[in-house]
Amino acid sequence: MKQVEEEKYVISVRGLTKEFQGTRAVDSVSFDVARGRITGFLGPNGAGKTTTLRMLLGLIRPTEGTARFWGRPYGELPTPTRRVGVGLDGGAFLGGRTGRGHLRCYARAAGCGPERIARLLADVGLEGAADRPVSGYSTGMKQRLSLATALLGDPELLILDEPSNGLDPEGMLWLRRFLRSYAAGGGTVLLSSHLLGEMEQIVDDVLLMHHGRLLCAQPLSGLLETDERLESAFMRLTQAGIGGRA
Amino acid sequence: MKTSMGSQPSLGSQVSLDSQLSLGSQVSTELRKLTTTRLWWILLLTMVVCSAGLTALVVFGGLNAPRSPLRFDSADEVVPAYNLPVALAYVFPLGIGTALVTQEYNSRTITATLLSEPRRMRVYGAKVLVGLGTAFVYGAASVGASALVAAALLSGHGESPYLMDGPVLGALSGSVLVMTLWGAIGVAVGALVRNQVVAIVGILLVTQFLEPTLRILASQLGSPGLGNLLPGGAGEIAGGGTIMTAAADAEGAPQALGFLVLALYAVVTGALGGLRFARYEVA
Repeated sequence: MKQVEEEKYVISVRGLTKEFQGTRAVDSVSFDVARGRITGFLGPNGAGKTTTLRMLLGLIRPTEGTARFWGRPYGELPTPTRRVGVGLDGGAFLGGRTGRGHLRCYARAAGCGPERIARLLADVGLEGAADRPVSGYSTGMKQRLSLATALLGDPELLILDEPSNGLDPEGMLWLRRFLRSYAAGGGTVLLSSHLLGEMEQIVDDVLLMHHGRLLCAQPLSGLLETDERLESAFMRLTQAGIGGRA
Repeated sequence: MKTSMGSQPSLGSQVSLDSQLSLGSQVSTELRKLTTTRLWWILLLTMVVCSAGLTALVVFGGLNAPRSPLRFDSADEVVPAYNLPVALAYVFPLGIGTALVTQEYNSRTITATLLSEPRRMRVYGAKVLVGLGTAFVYGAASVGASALVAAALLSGHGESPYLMDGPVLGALSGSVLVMTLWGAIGVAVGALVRNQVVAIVGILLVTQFLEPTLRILASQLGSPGLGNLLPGGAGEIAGGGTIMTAAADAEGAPQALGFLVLALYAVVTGALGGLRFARYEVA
């Protein structure tokens, strides 16, 4: 039974909680991310999405709870970036390093050679800027470099935190198409965003966070009432007091 | 942006798919991080120019000034002229070691680093090894360049450079080893302090102001040997003594004692830095 669950669910989170100096930033969050689906991890800024993602990835210690990838904590995955591509901190680059230099720094761990680096740079539209220092990049260019970094290891799971921040409408459209195609090819995506309207057009499943609690975890189609938008559904759920603080 | 990435990229272009990353791979990654920025060679160049320039100034002054305290009549007496790098320039290997860690926190690339290799002690160990290696290169380049400058000035002035004599060779090799240890201490300081600006200001304050003051104070209180227990003082003794050691009246301690004290600093700060690195929450 457990084996079947591991095959169906790529990520399983149980009772994940984080307290910062007595304040519960994330409060007993549990969910699963199904294989081959785009799951939107949605909610306003400060809802606890990034803290949850960082606990998932072993970057901060949970006060309670567990998070597993294919049944194992992230830190116990051998060569994790060859299975999980992560885009956190869209602007986390050393300004003096070139875009190509940045990718080269993480390529070895991801098992990625120079040819694939060149291809990724071309694919995200940074071919012409690849050998310029990242300090001269726009926010959108940094987002694209962040995505290229996540894709270095040809991963089967992508975790992206606010990937559409700083993208122009064309970039948003490209990202949407790319993620659709990635999932169609068997890839799984966990995507965090506060832009509910944008995410409504991308995601299959929804995890709605509010004040550190998970309001709902279900397919988008089951969440929305007739002709309802995701933003309205979010308001409906928060006003109903589901997931509110005790 | 193009849409070609929509198709699933194949594994065909990937390099070896070993099941677990080795320490060697992580060292190679850390080296790549160092060499994809300009900082390492700017610091190296500055260190070599400063060391060689100060050596030229001091040796030239010693040879020509009418009341110079420097003597060049034996291999032992000439050692301080060769040891200016270890007296003044150890701040560079310390600085590059520190930057190996603080740059990651400063730019928040620490996230990508720990996602690539979640075993934090392996990352820290690789940084210590790269810190040692880089500091060795820094030490060898600056000590070598200064030695050539000092030897050339002495020869040009008709003095024997004593370059191949035991005390001088011992001082030069000791200096390079001391510089190498400073690289590891730098990595530890970076892990302990984390903040790049605080680390740089702290290093300058401690090495250029606090420690020299304490050494002079120890000397004035009649215990100049105490200054040799401070890291900079220990490094200078391990290098065979410098003009600073002479100024503090703390000469005569064996080189091995200097190495032992400095190595202890490296081990203790290294262990504390490792603990802090392992416990850091990348929020």
